[in-house]
Amino acid sequence: MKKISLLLMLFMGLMACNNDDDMVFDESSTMRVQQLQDDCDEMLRSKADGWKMVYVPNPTKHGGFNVLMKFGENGQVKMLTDFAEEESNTTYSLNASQGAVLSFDTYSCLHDLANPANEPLGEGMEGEFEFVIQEVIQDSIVFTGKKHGYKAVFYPATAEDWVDLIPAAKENLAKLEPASNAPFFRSLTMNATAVNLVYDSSTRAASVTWADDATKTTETFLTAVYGTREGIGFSPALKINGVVVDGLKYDESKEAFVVNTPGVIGNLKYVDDPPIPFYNSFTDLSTTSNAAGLPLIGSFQLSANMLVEIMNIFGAMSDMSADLKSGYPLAVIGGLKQFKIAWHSPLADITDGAWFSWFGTTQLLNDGEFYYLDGINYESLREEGDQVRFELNGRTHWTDSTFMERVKGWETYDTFTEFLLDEQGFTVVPAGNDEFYFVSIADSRRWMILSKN
Amino acid sequence: MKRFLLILVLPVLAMVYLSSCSEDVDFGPSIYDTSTPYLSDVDKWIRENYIGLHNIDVIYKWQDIEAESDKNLTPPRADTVVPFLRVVKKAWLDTYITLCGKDVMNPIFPKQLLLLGSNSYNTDGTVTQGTAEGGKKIVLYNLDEFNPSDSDNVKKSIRVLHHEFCHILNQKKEYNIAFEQVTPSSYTATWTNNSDKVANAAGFVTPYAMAEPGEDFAEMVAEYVTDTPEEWNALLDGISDETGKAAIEKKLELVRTYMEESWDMSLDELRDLVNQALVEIRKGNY
Repeated sequence: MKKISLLLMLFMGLMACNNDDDMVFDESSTMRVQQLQDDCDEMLRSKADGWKMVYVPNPTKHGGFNVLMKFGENGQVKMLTDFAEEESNTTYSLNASQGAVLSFDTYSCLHDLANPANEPLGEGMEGEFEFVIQEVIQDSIVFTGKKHGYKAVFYPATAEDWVDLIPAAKENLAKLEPASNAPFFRSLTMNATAVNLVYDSSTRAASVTWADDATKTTETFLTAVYGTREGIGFSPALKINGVVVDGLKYDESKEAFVVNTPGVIGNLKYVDDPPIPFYNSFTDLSTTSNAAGLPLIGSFQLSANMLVEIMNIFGAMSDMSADLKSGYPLAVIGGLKQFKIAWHSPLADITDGAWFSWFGTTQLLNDGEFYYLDGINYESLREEGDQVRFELNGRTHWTDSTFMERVKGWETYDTFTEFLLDEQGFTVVPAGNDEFYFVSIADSRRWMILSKN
Repeated sequence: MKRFLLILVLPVLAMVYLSSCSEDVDFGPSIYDTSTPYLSDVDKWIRENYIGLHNIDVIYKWQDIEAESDKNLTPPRADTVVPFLRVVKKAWLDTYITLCGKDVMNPIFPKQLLLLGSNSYNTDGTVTQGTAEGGKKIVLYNLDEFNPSDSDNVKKSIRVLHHEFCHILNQKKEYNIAFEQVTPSSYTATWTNNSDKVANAAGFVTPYAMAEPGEDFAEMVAEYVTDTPEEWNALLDGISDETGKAAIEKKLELVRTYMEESWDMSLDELRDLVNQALVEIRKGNY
């Protein structure tokens, strides 16, 4: 046995430095990564008017931001964007970590999208300032973000881009925001098809909902929105019923956005009536979850810094139309933690029925939790299952009379019960991420968002 | 016989192993870029004032391996780096050098400062203002909010420096374990729930001091040397709980003794120097 081991060792010793291995590449990985860095650097600096990209930090959450970059000697880079007020003169470098990486290594406009001071606090908008080089080709450089891995592509910019692209993009995005008194629904027609398109300027993303009448279903998806010279672009393009729309053009004479894709006729309008049926939106909400309510407003724990705590509570508030918002923050500070519509009460002695529920504390900073419930009946208003009306049925339940009396004394209680008990009812509109708009049928400018929980 | 074979074979094997890779290959020039890097005005200033004078490197350009990968962080604006470092030099480095001399302090100072623009947010809702690692490196966050004309903001930054440097002193020479026995049962992981008043009454200068004894010690030093004597006395006078007040005074004595015996430094002289520096910075002299 020992002899065999000895022979084996001898054999291994002779084999160890066999130089006949076939090399897959002509050069070592270090040299190839260095070459890619050099090529990329040369390419970046070769364009006198620099580069541009429509940057989408996270396609599942955010929209597109226009970024212009001009790379110079000694690692200097000038940057102009449509999300920061001023241009920045900052630095870049190329290094090898996850392959060849382009790093914007001191603060620039681009870092605003990565800054953890932006909401959600600690995360920011998931923007990147380090990009792994995937491919350097003649008219573009393809990157992926180093941290989150989303694609970013640089294209050559023109001298005109530095003059008019950014102001035009900003102006067109501003036009996309509805006036404060505009009707709720945003109807985008694409030939014979209509979709409801809700643009959120804080994320530059649009929630697009379309209805398939054959299967009686709706689908909602997010698309990134970015400003262009003529109007706005969608990334990815909208593809519905075989019709593709990659952007809209602002028509000054009509004061409206019109479809900018050859062969497609359509426009974007703000309307009071739902442009499509939101098939079974309410039915699904009421049967697949036991409650839909505003997200937990904030936990009232003793904190070293109450001001920060209160600001966090406001920050966590769900959205609603301005008239509903008034008075609500005061109720939050006064001890309201949450209200919701619940189809199955969590209480052991009440097992059925729907409830309009208020959760809270009897006094500020008291961590105890109490609730006051109003029993409600609901009626589906049409067979599409997307409109509903509520009415009180007289049942009530509370765990603390002090809290119940406090709730009943709030302007918030009156405002929301009046809103929810409107005889004409609501259209329930999916907003994505398990959130639903309740839009008043009588006046579409009155709405609130309820989250499934 | 077997042993004889082994004695015979082993030198042969050794020769095979040692000689097999000894080809005289010309490796040529390095595949890495070994040219002198371009130095910006900020780089030159750092070379002259930090590396040259104190052998402290300052990293202000983003290097991901230097920062925590599980956090979202951003580098600082290049134009805030020199003003920030001037203030740091005046109210931190120079105070210790005036007290003990360059020959004593330069070997003790950390060898690296890492500057970050953003805050370092923790999952519990708190923010880390700085860290000290292995006696060699101090990480400072939130340069984005640095404002040299705001004396509270300057004091806050300098306070972080003195806190973190105290960790480095402790990492090199441990403090007396008697310090941990002054308020042994009051350290808590949920220190964020306490107000300044509650912390003071429990025998701590700040809520963060309640996190653990090492932080308590560093908070004592940072608070004491950046406070004016009047501010320190006001802090003590504001504590109605006599036990808490006595605990802070006891801790101060232990900190004083540590600085004297371990480092031959007077805590009170250090306080005077830091306060003078803060006054000068307020006047724009930095």
